[in-house]
Amino acid sequence: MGTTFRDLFKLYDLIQCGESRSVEKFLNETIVDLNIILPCKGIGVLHLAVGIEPLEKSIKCTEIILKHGGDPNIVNDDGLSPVHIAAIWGRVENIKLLIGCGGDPSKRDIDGISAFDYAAQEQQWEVYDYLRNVVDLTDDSFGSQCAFTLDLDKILVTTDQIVAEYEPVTNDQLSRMSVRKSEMVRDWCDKNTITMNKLYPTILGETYLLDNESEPWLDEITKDLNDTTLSYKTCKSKNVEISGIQPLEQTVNKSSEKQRVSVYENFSLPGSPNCVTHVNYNNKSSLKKKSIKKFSFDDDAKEYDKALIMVQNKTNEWLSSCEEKKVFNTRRSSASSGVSSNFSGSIMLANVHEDYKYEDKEENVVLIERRLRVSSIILPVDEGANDPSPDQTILSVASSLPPSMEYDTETLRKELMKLGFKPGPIQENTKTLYLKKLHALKKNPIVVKSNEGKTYSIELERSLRNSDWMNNLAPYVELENKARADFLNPNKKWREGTAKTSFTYLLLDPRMTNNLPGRAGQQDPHVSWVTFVNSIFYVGKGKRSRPYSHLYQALTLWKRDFRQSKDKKVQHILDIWSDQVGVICLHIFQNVIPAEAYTYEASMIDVLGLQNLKNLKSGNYYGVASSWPLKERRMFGLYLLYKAMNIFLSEGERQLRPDDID
Amino acid sequence: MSSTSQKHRNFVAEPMGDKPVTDLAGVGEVLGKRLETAGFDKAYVVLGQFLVLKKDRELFQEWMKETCNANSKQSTDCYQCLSDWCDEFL
Repeated sequence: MGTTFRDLFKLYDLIQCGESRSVEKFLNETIVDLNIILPCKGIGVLHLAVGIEPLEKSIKCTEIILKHGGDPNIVNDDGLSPVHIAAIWGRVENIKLLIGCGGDPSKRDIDGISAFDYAAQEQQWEVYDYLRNVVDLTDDSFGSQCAFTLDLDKILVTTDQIVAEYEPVTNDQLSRMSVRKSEMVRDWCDKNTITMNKLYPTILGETYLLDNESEPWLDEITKDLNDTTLSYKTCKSKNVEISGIQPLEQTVNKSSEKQRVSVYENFSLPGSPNCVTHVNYNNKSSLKKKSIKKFSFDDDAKEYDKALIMVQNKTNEWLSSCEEKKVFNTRRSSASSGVSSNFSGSIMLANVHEDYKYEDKEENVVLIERRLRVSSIILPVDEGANDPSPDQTILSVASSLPPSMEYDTETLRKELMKLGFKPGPIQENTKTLYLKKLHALKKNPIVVKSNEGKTYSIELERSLRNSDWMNNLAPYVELENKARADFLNPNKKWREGTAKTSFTYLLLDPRMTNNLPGRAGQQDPHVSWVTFVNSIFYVGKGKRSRPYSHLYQALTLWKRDFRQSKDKKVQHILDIWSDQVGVICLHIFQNVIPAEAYTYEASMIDVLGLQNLKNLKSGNYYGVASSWPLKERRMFGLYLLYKAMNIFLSEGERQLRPDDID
Repeated sequence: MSSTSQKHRNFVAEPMGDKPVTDLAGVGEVLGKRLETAGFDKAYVVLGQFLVLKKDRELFQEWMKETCNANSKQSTDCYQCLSDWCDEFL
């Protein structure tokens, strides 16, 4: 490989001159192995790039080399890695990149000195702080004060047809009342969900939105909103195409004409004397004529009116109570909920998201946290119970006639693979089985394999197969109590002290949970359990002062357009963000001492199995749990996961993403 | 599926060695006879089939039904039995 070194030295010179553009061009055109220590120089190109002057060029070059596959942990003969160099020279930006790409700050050089030590030794406090605060989560002593702010950014109300965005209008009172904000939103949503649920059955029995050209309707809404509300700020409405079915038992005159239903309430604020609750309920003709009042075809409609009155009362009631307390600080003006039925007849109520903005000024981090409301999707059961019948007929249409299937083994395998099923050996005595399987798959193509090739510990596998254990949790509770009691003992000395500032967190993949808390009510808890377990990709321990610090590394890379990282965890987060969704970050077991959080972390990693997670190493046990046999530790972990799921289900999904994707 | 039979527990308790196919939970005399005629005389042969089907519950039960006309209770028991055995010994 004579040319390799010629190329490498050329690259070396380019970097030395700091010409980032030529470096990039060179790397795009030439294939070189970047992870070689150059003879004579005694360092690799990444070492060089990290340390050159001036700073901006160094950052640029480091970024380019990392993007082209430079290894941040490459060591030269002295055991020095680029991370060490960055620490010595105080290159904070570089160190962020390096660590984000999988660089190990605790790696020791030949003299046994790590990047931490170098940073301290060379008095590069900026680097040192970064390493302490962000990378090394083992230390709680520093910065226990709140290093972040969390503010309500906007509220999204989505239904099948509409996506409406509401932003709080800034208000002087806002800052003072920040603590109560989330409560208020919750409150607000609760009221609304109740009314939506109440409304639903009657609407269901009556009409379906069938129209694609709903523009007049949308205009109507926007106009109305603007007219009637003072504090209304923004509303983006997006129209989603809906195809619907006519309910079977409707009266004749209805089935021939297309109707639209829109229900929305407008809130106005204390300040305007009368709270206006505005309701439109139109069919097409009345819309044109602008004679918007009410229409009563049958009893349903009357009931509907009743329900509306209730809405009105409720909202008024609530608003007035807010007025009294003077706590109403966010001018959240209106909620609109369009109600429709999609083809399968399953009912979607409005989903409410809250977006919060998480800011850590010190580390220059902004994340958007999206909280999906759990309760808004709960379906009414009382009056609506007998209504879903139309769609069931559709589901049962699928015939069970076996088609003539003449496949040879190869095509059969290919077909099965195409449908996402991995067949075993197809032999004489398995072929018919696979043919049947294929047939079944074709009929019902959505197969959710229980655990995509992951094998968990025996305890967890067993729990995934069979839900009986959920009914008898006593042995688990006992284990937990034992562990907990030990950590409460004040006389013991624990690692990192006894300040109750830690928590354990799980990172979940939203592409797999798919708003699990919203669905959980309608499905078997066991199904939820399987989904939950499969979606976990990281278990970690955090501290209260910076609850989202575990996303900082990924964010640093994201901002610089990296989509690859050698660090498995960071890579996974980047993948999720690339798919336009946020990482679900589930904080559990808040306010425990560090040792306890470590123990929880360790037992959960053990039960899930390190190979199924993006964690690099398994955790450490402390206290009484460290003397338990593996089986008990895993049982403990299993129970903790179970508790975590319950927290998740009641808390709702919270997705975290950078502020530049939407 | 709340509790397992004595037969199940016996089978799962130890390596299967040369046990006859009738030692599997869910496989009695009748099914055992049918399986034997189909060539599955030992429990380990059934295990082989179980593994060839990649421990897939659906496929295995379907296979049981086809080869020896097992009902769903029988095939579930047998599946569970082999699956638990594998967790323990494989």
